Amino acid sequence: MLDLIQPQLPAITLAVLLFAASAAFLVRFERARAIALVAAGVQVVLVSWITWIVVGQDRVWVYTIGGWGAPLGIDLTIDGVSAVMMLLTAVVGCVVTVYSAGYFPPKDSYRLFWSLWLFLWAALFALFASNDIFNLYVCLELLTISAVGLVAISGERAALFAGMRYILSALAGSLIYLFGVALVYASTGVLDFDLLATQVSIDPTTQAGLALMVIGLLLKTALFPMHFWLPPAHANAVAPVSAVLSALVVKGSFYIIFKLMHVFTGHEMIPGLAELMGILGVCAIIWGSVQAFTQKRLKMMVAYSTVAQIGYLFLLFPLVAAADDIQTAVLAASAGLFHAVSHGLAKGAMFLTAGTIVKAVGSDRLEDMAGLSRLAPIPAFTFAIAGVSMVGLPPSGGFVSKWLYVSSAIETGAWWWAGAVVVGGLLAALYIFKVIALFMGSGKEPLQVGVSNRVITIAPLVLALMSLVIGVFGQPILDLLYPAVESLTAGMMR
Amino acid sequence: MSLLQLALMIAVSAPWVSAIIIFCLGETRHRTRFVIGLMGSAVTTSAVGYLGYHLAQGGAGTSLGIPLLGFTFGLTVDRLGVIFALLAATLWLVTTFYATGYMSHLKDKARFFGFFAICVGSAIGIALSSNLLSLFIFYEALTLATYPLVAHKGSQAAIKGGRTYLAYALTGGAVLLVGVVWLHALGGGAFVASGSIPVGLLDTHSTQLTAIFAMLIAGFGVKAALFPAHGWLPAAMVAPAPVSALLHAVAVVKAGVFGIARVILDVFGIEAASALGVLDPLALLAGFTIIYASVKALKQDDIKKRLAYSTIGQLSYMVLGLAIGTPIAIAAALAHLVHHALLKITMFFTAGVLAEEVKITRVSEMDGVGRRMPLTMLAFSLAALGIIGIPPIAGFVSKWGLGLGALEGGQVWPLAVLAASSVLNAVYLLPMIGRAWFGTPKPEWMNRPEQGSKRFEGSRLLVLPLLLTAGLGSLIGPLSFMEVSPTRWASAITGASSAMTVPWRSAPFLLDATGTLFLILACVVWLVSAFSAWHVEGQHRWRFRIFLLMAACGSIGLAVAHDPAMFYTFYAMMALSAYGLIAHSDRAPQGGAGRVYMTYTVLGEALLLAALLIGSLGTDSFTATLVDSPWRDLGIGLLLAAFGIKIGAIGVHAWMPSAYDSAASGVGAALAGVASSAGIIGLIRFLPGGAVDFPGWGSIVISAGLVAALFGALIGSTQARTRRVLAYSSMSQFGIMTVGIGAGLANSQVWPVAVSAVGIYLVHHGFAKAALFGADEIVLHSNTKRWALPVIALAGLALAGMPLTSGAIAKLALKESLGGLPGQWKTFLDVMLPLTAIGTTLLMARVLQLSWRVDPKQRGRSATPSAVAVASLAVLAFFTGMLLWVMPDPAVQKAVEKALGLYGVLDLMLPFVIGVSVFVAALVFVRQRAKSGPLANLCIPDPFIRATEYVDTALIIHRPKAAESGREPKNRRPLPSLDRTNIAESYLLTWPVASTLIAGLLLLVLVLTLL
Repeated sequence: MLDLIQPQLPAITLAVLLFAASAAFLVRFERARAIALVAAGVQVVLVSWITWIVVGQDRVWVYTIGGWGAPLGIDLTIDGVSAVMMLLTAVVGCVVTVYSAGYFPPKDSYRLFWSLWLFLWAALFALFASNDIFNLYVCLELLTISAVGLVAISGERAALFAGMRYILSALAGSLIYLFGVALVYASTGVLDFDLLATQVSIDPTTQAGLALMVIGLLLKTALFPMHFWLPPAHANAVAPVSAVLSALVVKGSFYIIFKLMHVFTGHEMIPGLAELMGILGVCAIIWGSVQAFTQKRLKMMVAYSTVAQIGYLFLLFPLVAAADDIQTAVLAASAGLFHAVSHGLAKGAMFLTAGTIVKAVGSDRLEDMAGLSRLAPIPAFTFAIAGVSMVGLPPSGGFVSKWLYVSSAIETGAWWWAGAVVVGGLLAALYIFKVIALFMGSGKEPLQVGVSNRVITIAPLVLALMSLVIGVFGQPILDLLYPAVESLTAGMMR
Repeated sequence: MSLLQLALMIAVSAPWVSAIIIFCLGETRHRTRFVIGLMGSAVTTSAVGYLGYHLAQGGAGTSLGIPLLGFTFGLTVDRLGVIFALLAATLWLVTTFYATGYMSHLKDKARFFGFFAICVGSAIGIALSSNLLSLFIFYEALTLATYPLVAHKGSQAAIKGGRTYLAYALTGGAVLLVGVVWLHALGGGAFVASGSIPVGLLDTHSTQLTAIFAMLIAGFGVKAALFPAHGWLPAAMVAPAPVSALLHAVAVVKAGVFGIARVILDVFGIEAASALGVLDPLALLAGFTIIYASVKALKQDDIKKRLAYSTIGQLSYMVLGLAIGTPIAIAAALAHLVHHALLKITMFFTAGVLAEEVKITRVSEMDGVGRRMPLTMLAFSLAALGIIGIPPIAGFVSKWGLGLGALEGGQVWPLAVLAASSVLNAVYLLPMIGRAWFGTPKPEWMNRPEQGSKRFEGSRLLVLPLLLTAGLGSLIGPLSFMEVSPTRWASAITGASSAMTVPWRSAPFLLDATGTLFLILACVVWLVSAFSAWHVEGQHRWRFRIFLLMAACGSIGLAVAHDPAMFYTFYAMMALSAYGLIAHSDRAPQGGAGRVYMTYTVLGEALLLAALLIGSLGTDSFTATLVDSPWRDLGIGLLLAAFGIKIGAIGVHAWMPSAYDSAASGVGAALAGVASSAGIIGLIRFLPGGAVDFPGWGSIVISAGLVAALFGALIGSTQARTRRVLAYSSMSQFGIMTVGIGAGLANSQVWPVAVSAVGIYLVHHGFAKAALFGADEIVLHSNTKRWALPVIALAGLALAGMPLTSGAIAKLALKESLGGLPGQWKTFLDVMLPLTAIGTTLLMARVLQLSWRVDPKQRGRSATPSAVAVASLAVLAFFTGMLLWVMPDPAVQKAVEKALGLYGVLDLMLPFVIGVSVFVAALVFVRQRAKSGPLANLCIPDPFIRATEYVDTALIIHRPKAAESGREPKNRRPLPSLDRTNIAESYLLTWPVASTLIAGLLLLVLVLTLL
């Protein structure tokens, strides 16, 4: 039985998600919830299994759907990097599903959430498994459509506005990307990454194509100064959606940039592009942190924190570009990818717990939350732990990525990037501890706290604790990333 | 996994596990939480204890860990780590009791105790980490877990304190992180006994290594409160008392010091660090921090803030020791880690009890609190004395080691820092003790609590822990010779010889000839004093008796103490206890005679310690070491200055008249006869005469002695109060004795003779002065002068050196010893000595005159039986002095022979006759002036007393004002300018700007492709 399933695992995993999404679309809220919970559980098992195989085989697993193979058919390619991203998606997705089960009142107006969410999950899975710039476009669009639907699901005025802004900018990003894909296809005639890696050459069309693809994706990743759509969308969505958007969806487009930059040897193709992204990253860190500090609403603060944290991801590129040897380049790349993981866990926890807090306090305004730690200790504690990872203090995932970043900055000799990382951590401390101090303090009037729901209290805590655990036991993730990043980077160094 | 590894694992994880259980227990299950906390701390303490036991048995260390980031995230056992771990674990156990008592009325106990346990767990993790990465992880965990404790009360001040703490700690952590990563990139970071810097790196990367060292020290220095990163510690004092006690005196701050120790000892290694030249700047910084913090502490009125600044200074003691880098200094620094922890935790415990029980948070409110809670304040006083460095309490042991270590490294400036710091510590800590014991308590304190409860102190949970820590802190000093004492344990780490790090040598007692004489003097006079003063009335009699007994013990002990540290111990004991006798009847304990006495005494103690240290670096005898020492002249100068203060040498005598004047009834005799004489004993015992000629020093000492003798006579004979005259007489007499010592210094041949002569003079003077004081006692307190006047006359004759008195022998013996001086000195002295004798005669005549017509207003209350006792015993003392005549000493016999000869008699009589004549003439002159007009005030003011008063006033201006101590919280909005960025952000959020930006960016990237 197992032998029969194992070779088909990627397809089965994707199929389970798509089937569950479709099924959830057709049934009432309670049924849909049950379907999503089962699907989430199955996902964790299947993705772990896939990861196990990737680790065991220590290589890239190429699954050709229907046996056609590239360039004609669609290949699902799963290496260490995608396995890690899938695992992150599965873990965060599973917790979000459980949280949502406790979060939404059983009303049919929220029925569509389950279906959209499972579609989004499927799109993410497909995105991480894709090895083809056009398939990636398809996945991006799927992702966008379902994400926009999710943002608007509450039907509130602010959410609808934010959703509109989101869909316009996301579609613009996708189209710019698609334009770039067309240019690249025109000049090389291939779309598959492996083939591109062998055929790509530096000519104006390809260069322009890459530039367009990257810009489109930067817009979708909301790198400063193109973050304008992110805070309203993330802050006005319902809590589980905010968590998914911040923790996972932005990582999808980042993942594509990462692959593009490696396959196209981006920093040679467009000189200064890597540094430009790094500088924008630093700007994002500073600007996002400052904005987060000045926010008056909890979820807005968390959303701006995402803007800042996305900046860290982009420090990867100048550091890889500055590396002299493959070890250092791998170190830098691992730092960025690890940050994606740790931020995914921590930000997921933070948005989920913010949802719990907002629900408990009945307001999103920070000033109404003074003294929370006494009345709702677990959400306050969860927020603090997730914050620790944001700040990058040990023992947390955020610390590990900070450590890797600083190490690679020092080893490449481009130590000023380390300064950005360190200062960014302190800036994060400013806004995180501002909120924690508020929780520790005493409010003007006693809080009316009504959290009776264990599920939405405990689920974020689980995620937050995981972000701590990978700070101490993070080595396996790095080991899993290593071969894949090495082979990607080796291609780039060549 | 071996048993050792298991113990290691348990030691680190038990606090974390108990924290998790405490969090899960919830708010209301107090008893269970207490039991969990207790079990956690007990398990941790036993586990660490087992590790320590294993190491003490000579077992090898062990380690365990998991790989992380190219390091091993792991734990290890070594001697250095076990010191800190055991300290944290044990004090956690103690603090668990205290905190349970203290927190009984505060909210959020689960959170408090949970984070408290995490803090301890992190501290133990820091102690047992196997490399810098692990240490860093625990270090930052400690930062985080401390924050909720600092901000625990949730008030605005608490939140603000927490914010300050975080700002410092996180910035430090960030700097530390860069340092650790950088070092890792160069291949270092593991803890290896001799340092982990790869071979050859020192030559090629010295600049980088220096930068890394600076970063690591800066990172750890934040928690170790090194200047200028010390500002968080006073701010963090808003935390509840147990936090201030365990975390801000022990676990958190010492984590910083421990980190610095690891960096210097195990990451860089002493040799590499000193080759880089980074240790000297660090030592200077630490030295500056010590002084700076002590000066800042003076200005704090808030008790906890004052203690916080004291902690900052004390932490830098440890950093200083580490930076000096010699084995002795490092051992002392590590021992101080433990010593200071025990003492300071006691003081913070006390501060908490004061705030809880009697609502005292300021030093200025502490008046008389010692009478409300004597046990608590006793513990506090012991701890404070220990911090000042009073032997034999623990703080002294480490200070001793630090000083010796500095000398071992060839540096003498740390001694100056230590001395200055001791004085400053005394200036800000002693007033707290002084207020507590000598101030007037608020009346409502003295009413016992209602419902017949006999509770006077705080609750038992609060008081027992602080008694325990104070007891440990006091005992650990004298017990530092033991194998498992922190001092010996630390010595084993650095390979310092324990003979050096333990101050007290193996054979500390020896009775020599001078000592014997002094011993007899001390025993007799103290006995007299004790008998006559025992029945002193008033409500403070027990306090008085204790001080009296301690002062007596001190004097008797120093007579037989031969080893420098032992001498210093008894000397300090005597000098400090004498404060209680002087300040006993003082109306205003914060001012007047007591404080002036104490200031001079403390100064003397500090100088003496420095002097003793110079001669103690080595296994030879003190004087032999001093003679060979490169700092010989400094040592001699310090000895002269230190003992000079005690004997009222010219310029530093300003304390003497007022102290003698206000000494409690019955003890003046002992103070004047014995306590001050200890200075002469010290000079005789520690000056390196007899080995080398010191003509320069000899001249200085002789001159100073002569000036003192004449100055005392001149000022003294115009004083209007008997005891002040007696004080100046003492100054004058000690001046004469120093002439003898100076002669011995100048000529090594003369030294033995001079010493023996000075010893005889000392005993003679001691008895005579005691008799004078005793007689004065009767004059003041009884209605009859019948007994008193003959005694005064006899003693006066003796001091004036009349034939057939003890004075005759003493004078002639002393004169004999001056024979070895060069010619011009001899001629000079032949003129000067009779002059001093004339002065003495004048003084004695003045005493007699004043006693004759004693002012009725001055006369005390009714006659007391003690006065009669004084009289009889004073006579006894006087006749004991006469026993000198039959002493079987060759010098004495020679003097006796001379005294009975005609020339000798004339020699002695002539000054006396002149003196009496002058006095009578002056008397007549004054009488006539008084007839012609109002009686002129003849009293000549003493310029040195004026100067002292002036300095004292200047100091008073600097004393804390209530409003000054806590800076007014300015209600400023945090970073107001940041809010303006919102406007910019709102532009960024508009479509036109956003799309322009995207287009611009696209253009930019496309342009880049063209490059």
